[in-house]
Amino acid sequence: MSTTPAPLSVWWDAPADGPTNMALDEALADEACRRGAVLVRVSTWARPEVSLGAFQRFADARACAALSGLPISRRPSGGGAIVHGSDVTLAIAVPRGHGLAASAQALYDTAHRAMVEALAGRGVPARQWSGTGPGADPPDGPLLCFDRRSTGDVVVDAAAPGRRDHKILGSAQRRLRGAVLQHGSLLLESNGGVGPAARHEGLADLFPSAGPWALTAGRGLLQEWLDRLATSLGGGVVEEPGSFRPTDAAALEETLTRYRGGAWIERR
Amino acid sequence: MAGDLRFAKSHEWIRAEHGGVATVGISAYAVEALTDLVFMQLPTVGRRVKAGESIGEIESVKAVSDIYAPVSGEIVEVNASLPERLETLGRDPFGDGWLVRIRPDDPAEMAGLLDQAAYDALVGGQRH
Repeated sequence: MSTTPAPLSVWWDAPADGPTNMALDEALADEACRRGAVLVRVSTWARPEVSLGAFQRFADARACAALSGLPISRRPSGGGAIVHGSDVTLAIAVPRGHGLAASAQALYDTAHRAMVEALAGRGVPARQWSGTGPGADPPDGPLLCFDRRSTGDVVVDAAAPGRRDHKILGSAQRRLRGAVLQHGSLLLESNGGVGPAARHEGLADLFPSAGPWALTAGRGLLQEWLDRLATSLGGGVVEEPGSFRPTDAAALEETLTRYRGGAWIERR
Repeated sequence: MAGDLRFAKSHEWIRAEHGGVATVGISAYAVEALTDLVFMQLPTVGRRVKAGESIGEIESVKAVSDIYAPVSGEIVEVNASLPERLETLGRDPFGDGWLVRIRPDDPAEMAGLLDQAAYDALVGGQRH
């Protein structure tokens, strides 16, 4: 018996702070479970802000001089700290019953392969990191996500010398009972407002002629990524109106309170 | 040994022990799927939990997963050294890699979980 794959639904959200983005992404996972469909939320950050991985040490971020003065939030997903503000966050929620939810690497690879293809369409020679070279993620790796490498990360080799394996997209997941939530961070341009040790060049810095890269200049690359992601899942893309808002506003507020609280942000 | 195990769909196993206590762990399939474990957080002794409630978290290089209580009850013992030797989970998930011991509120609740054959069928479907 064949079934028609459900389309991939996407919301293009207005900029928000870290706790709000995290609460909405957790609600997105609940919604994916309820609908039995893959959902995507594309979001940006209203201010420069650091998000820690679920188990990173808060003290390590506070002690990092390059991050001095930035607000800190914490994601439910794993991985390294990200300096937001010049990136775009790609939240993908996949219901547990979906084939893509069975393996962490499968979802990671599917989303990243679609981005490699979308970038290739702009002449950017991106690829997924093989995990065999130096820089592989040690168990307690560098503080910052973009200083880490793990198998499947999207890296580019820029034309300038010494710019091989430059990471421009990394992802991490929270595997919940009803759905898997994957957070991806695509670095559009260098994150200003931080010290050099925490600054990483993005697509606009490495491939200026292949742009425009700013979200305000259009959704081109991300629209292409969504189309390719949907195609790989066997369906199409449905653009949802407005920003993502769950129907249970009280539950969202409760989740938001948790993500804003010190008990969560400074949990480790 | 595997015959006396019961499984939750979220891949925790539970085994009744003497004295009204049950041991809880996560299945070999789940450990294999997680890969490259880096951190684990377990609950405190004395905590009361409901079936399906998160009792801990485990992080691999790419993902954080919740560990759920397969039955309701009280946590009476925790494998406190496990987070410092996560390789044990891969080597012996049904033995030394146990996570917690729980005193079930209702031991009969375990009968509602999957037996070995049903769990094998579940993960067999997820492998394909």
